[in-house]
Amino acid sequence: MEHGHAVSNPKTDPGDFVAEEKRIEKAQPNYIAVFVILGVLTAIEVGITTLFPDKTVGTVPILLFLTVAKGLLVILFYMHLKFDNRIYSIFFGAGILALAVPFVISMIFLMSPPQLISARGGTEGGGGGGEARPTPNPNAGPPITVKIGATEFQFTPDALTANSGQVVRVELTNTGSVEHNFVVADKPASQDPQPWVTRDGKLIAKAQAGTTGKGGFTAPASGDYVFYCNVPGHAEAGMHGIFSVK
Amino acid sequence: MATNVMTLPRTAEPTGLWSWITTVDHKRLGIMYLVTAVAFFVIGGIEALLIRTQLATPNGTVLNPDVYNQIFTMHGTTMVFLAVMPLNSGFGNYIVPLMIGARDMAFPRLNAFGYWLYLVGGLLLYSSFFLGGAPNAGWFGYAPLTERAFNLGHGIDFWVLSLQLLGISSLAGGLNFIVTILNMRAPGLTINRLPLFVWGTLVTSLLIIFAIPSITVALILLLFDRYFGTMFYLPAAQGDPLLWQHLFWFFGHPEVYIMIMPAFGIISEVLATYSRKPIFGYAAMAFAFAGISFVSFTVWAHHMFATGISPVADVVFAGTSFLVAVPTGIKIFNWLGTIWKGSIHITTAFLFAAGFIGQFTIGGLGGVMLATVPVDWQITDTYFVVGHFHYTLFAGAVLGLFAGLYHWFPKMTGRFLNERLGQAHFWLTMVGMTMVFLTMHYVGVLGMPRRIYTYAAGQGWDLWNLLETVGAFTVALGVFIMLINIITALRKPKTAENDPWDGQTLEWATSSPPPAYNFATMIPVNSPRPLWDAKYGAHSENVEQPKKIDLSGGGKAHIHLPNPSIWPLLLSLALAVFAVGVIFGPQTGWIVAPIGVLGIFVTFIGWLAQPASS
Amino acid sequence: MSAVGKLEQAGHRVGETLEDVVDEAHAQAEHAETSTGLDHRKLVMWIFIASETIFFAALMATYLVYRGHTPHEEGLGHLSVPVASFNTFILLASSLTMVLSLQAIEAGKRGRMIVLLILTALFGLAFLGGQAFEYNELLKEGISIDTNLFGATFFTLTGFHGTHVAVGILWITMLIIRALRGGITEHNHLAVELGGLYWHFVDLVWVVLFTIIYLI
Repeated sequence: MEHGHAVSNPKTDPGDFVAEEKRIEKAQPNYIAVFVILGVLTAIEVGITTLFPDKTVGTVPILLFLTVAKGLLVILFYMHLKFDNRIYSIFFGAGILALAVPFVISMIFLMSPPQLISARGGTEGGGGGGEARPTPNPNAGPPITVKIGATEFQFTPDALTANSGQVVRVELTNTGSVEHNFVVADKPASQDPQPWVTRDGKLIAKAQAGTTGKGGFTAPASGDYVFYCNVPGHAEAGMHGIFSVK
Repeated sequence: MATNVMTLPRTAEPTGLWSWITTVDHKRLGIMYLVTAVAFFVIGGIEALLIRTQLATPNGTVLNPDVYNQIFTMHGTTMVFLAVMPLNSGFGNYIVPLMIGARDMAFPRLNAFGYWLYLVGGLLLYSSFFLGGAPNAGWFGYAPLTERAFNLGHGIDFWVLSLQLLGISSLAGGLNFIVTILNMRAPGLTINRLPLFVWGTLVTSLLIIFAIPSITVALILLLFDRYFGTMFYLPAAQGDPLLWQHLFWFFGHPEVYIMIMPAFGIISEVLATYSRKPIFGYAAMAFAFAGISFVSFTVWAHHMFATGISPVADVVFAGTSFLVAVPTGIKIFNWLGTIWKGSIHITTAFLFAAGFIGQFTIGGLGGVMLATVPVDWQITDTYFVVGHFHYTLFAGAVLGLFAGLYHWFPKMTGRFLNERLGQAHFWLTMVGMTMVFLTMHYVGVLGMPRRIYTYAAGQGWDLWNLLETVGAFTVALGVFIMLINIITALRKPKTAENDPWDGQTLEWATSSPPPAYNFATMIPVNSPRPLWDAKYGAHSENVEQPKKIDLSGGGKAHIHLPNPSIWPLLLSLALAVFAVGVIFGPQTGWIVAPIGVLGIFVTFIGWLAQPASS
Repeated sequence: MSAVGKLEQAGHRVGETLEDVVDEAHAQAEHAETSTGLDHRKLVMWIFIASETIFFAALMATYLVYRGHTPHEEGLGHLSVPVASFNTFILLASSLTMVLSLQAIEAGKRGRMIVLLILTALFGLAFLGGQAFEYNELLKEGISIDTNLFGATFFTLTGFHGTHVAVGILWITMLIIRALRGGITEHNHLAVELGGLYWHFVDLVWVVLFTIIYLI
């Protein structure tokens, strides 16, 4: 069983994924210059955003282009992909170009095309549609914290007040034996006195039995809104109250 | 000539429980994967029988609705994540390094880690039955049904965390396979000479590393919804349940191919071996693997035609879905071409492979029907869909795995499975599966919805359902015979020689079972079937004279075998402790979770500090 | 001596100091020939990074599809572009020191490498500090992860990036410890390269996040 000659080393595959050069000559790009360029590009990006604060579609492609340029600098120089074996590029390229980018783009188009464009435009086109959006109110006052107790099946207190546009932080303390939550209807009580039937509203906070849940929201336009617990049956049993916005 | 295998005198191969717990040997890990996965396959099968018993007659009362939901969820999750994927990993682990002439996987400890995390994840999932109820929202876990507001128990939390652990396990396996296959091939075994099972495993691993992150994110968002009050999938707070479906199916559709590609590979090896011919259209087959895997990432929304995505999206995704039929069709015809005019040796493995071609084609045709949007709108969420995917996963993946079992059992154990029992298993499986799954198509068109726990009499479904139940028990009988066959075979002496089937690939060029170091010498590789060339001479022109390459080291090197290690198991356990902590949430669990994090850190350092090989 | 004898001998080589053993294992792996000529560990690192791109793509897609769902003044309006720009420069600078540390060890300058690695880790900590400041400001203004979809997507996306930065800092710390104990040399510095690849990838993710969150 003794054999005199040494292991014959497996050779790299020609015509396969060729290992282009065994020891790729270590190129020494000027990393500091790359850093300076990255910094300048970032400054340009921030500059564009500052100069054109009201988003128009025009700036988005420029910003995306600059981002791609920065990304390429990092990949090609800092991660050495420019000088390294192309198998690495194949994997990374497959990750980014073949899958990640089309995935993100198709998700956006499949789920919400209009919002992307008007995102910074304020309340218009913002998702929900048709609900009473709070108008920014400089006189709304500082954020307030309301403490609400929840048990089977009531809220204490069952009447709350805030100014329109005021940030309301909610601490929901559940002293009951099952989960409870705190939902504020989107439509005023005058339009929909029983929002739990339509499940209208936003979930603000919830709490398991014996715990405290936190949440917050901005008070909508003036009016009375119903708040309730959306665990099935709870609101019907009496877990609701009125949130008055001045 | 091929049986003339040089072996090295062995040191006593380590035995005992400790040696199995700390093993990093790809063959042992392969067997551990296979045994564990078969156990989970049986459990999943029992769950299937419970479902079928409940549905055998109208107004069944075997399971109550609650338990029924848990059972069908666990059946799906088990079969996908705990049975078929690990069975693929098991065969891959055992066979791939042998087929490429490697000594082990590229990262032996990572390999062990993958196995232990799989075991731990599976046990964690099943512990939910005893800790407040199993998950009950289907294997697809559609939000918002999985949200806390609609699903108060811990079942879904167990499901989320187990799937995360199993995802990490699959990723570890996938990374390891890719590096092993790219980097550890025998001299001469170029990419365009890889045996097709290796090709199948390679593309499967690529699918794993690109698909798993998507479900990881989907599950993280769900977890945050359940614990931190975010609202990613909650329409009441402007979230969108469709986000779950997109993220899930971007993973879920490639997952289908993750399950079936290795089976494609097994079928290719088995048909070529028992037809005593090279695989027909090798290059086309290899490209078809690559083609299917790429297209599989562009079809996910065909699971969502009925959710109201735009008509343009419907058309695009229908188009890409039809495209899948092209590479799949290439495969079917090449398999037929492989058998054509071969001198066929009818064994159980061959029968399963041949049965696979016919049955899987039915599954594929059902897929083309479902990819047609108007048809889909009619029959989505009916038993037609259940019939379709069982035709691809049972007739596809599972039949392929059965073929692999009968084909490689002599290599793994040195013993033969009984052919008569094997053929009984085959015929029972064929008849049984047709009774179950073909009838599901009919009853689906008749309007029977999926996921219902019972149904009223007099809708024309009764006979079909009874047939399906009988068929399910027929399949189960076949599996029972298979288990008996395995157990009796293991009690017999080793009679299998190194190359019992007149094989073509390198795994048959070493002893049965192979020694720890796999190969002492390596035959030259000039084609996808080097052993066949060595035995009968090659047909291609550029063939070097057969000469053996000595891998035993001789004067200079010694064989580097990786050290056994306990750290993969410990790291898996630490991850499980962390997962348990997260499952039990804010009050109790978040004391446990930091202990898990500490454990992860400590075991990771321990792993790094231990030398991989000495 | 037979191969097996050597195997046994190798198997019983106990009692060596930790660094020696690790060193040798690494040196062996680096000199082992592979079919592609590439080191296993560098290859697996790149494939892992490819996998991570899908992870972040899914998180970014989630952020982008929900972008319009929260009114400006309840979400994006609370972000501070100057703070984020400062953070961006910090992280870009850390990438520079990281790549310079690799250059240093390639030239055999171990001390210089250690200093640059320490700088990199400090820049990373500064980034996390900036992020903590930003989070604190948002929480003071009533925006947390469960306030609205902006809070949910913002904290999840930047939180996972921050976690990656934290892991990177741990990684670099381990590199520093190993380097101080003599485990990294001119001819055995793959560990620095791998840590660097991870670090630059995390930087790359931030380059994209900065644009999609703060700029467009």
